[in-house]
Amino acid sequence: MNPEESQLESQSIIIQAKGVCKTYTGRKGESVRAVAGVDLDVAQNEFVAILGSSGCGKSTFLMMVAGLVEKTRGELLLEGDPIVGPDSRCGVVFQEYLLFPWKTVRENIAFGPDLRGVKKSEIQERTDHFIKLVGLEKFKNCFPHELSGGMKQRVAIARALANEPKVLLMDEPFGALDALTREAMQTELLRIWHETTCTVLFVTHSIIEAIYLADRVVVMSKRPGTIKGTLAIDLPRPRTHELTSTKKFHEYEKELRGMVWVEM
Amino acid sequence: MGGDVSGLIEQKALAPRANLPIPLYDRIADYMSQHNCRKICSPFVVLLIWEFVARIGWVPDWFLPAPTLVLETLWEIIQSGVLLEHTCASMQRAVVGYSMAAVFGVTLGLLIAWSKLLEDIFDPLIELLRPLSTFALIPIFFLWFGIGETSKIMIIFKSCFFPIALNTIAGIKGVDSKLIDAARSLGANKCQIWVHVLIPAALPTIMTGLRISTALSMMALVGVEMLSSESGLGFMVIDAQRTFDTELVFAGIMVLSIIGFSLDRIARLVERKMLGWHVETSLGGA
Ligand SMILES: Nc1ncnc2c1ncn2[C@@H]1O[C@H](COP(=O)(O)OP(=O)(O)OP(=O)(O)O)[C@@H](O)[C@H]1O
Ligand SMILES: [Mg+2]
Repeated sequence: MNPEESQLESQSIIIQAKGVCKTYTGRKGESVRAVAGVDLDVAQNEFVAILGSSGCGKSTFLMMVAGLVEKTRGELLLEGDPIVGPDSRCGVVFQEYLLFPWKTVRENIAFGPDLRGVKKSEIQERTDHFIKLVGLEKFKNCFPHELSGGMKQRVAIARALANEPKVLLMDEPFGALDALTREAMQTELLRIWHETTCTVLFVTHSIIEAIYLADRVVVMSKRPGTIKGTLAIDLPRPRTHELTSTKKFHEYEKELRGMVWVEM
Repeated sequence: MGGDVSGLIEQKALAPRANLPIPLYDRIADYMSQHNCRKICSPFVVLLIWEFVARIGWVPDWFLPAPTLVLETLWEIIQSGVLLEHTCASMQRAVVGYSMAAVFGVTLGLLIAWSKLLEDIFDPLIELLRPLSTFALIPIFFLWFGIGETSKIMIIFKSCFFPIALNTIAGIKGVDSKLIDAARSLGANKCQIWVHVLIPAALPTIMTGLRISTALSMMALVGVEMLSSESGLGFMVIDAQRTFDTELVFAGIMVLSIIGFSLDRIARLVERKMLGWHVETSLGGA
């Protein structure tokens, strides 16, 4: 691949959402508008954070991109193809980890390639690679219940990556972790992202997490969710946590806080 | 739980002695630590009191024979081969009835959980038949299948089938739908979801159904053998009662209790081996 071509590719849009809506039908037949017209373009290899208050429809939007929830209206494209169901180009990391408790760390990570009929030797190689990438060599034969929360989330990330997706969808992946583990995992995620170069769509409640991780932060309004505004984060990479105490970081933080609070 | 904690403390206290030349003694002492000791002692104490009461002559032998007399009888029927004969007859019925219930119960359970149509057809039938006492069906089974082996096996089948089928359905329906989403996002199709997610996730519940049914099969077995049979442990006990051979009655009951207990232990062992991941995360592992 020549430099020009890769330049072009990194500019190209990978996810395209146009007026995406979702209306759930509640148990009593009432309709709940969760997402009302989201427009969003995500470029290849971009790291986009979606910021919004609880219940504003972030998960719903992400699950629609993942093809796990059907959209009510609008257009949703992945590399130009309409999203109609789960797609192996999208890897999902859920907030609740959702590891398979009867499979070891190794088997959990090998599950995706295994389902898709990848050759045994190749699966072996890939699993080893991703176990190493998330630093769980010592625990590869453990069951999920023998791991800590941070370790489980790392397995979940490795499991999604083992399918070699182009897009990684992460739904508040560090929401259940304590503050210290959370910071460590953020740095870890950035390292992994640098090594694998994929597009990331990252849902979070935390303004600081969004700025620290993302190239661009998208703020969602209260339910029914729409996009309130976006903010490009122009901070050098690779990033370290010292960055969070710089002046520029604080300015971004203030700006985002303003955008979020207007909403309240 | 409290017992486990004291067991742990015990182990710690014994730890420095582990290097002594009699590790076996340590192991036995460890095993006999308070917690286990109490468990093992309690049946023996009951037997001792029983023996005492029987020996001092407060109650006649035909009413409550001393445990030693019962053991003597037990030894006699072991030696003469009578016990083996009856046990074989009983176990044959139990195994056939139980295995059929296991195969059909799990299969039908899976089918019902899989298809809404089958659920609508079978659910009302199951709900109507399930609460019916197994023994209420005995006359009908005798009518249909005669009083031979078939009706006995069918009765055992009936008593095991429903818990197995219902646990299978409940197990599959209880699987977290998010776990299915996780598998779908990794590229699993419908069939792969069944093989790799639904069945493994439901296995603990299915195994519970299979385990409780071992006890139910013994209950049904003894009942039906007492009603009509020329062989089997149930027959042996009821026949002994008719001839006022109370020692043999107690010996038979003892054997039945040992078999029931062993079956449950074996089932637990299988469960533990197959479901290590689950047993350790649930209360059952404590
Ligand atoms: N299956 C469903 N049926 C009906 N309503 C639903 C369903 N799932 C979500 N909702 C509703 O849609 C709205 C958005 O939910 P969603 O889970 O997308 O929020 P969220 O932004 O991810 O919130 P949080 O940050 O707390 O996870 C909520 O008001 C919720 O009540
Ligand atoms: Mg959510």
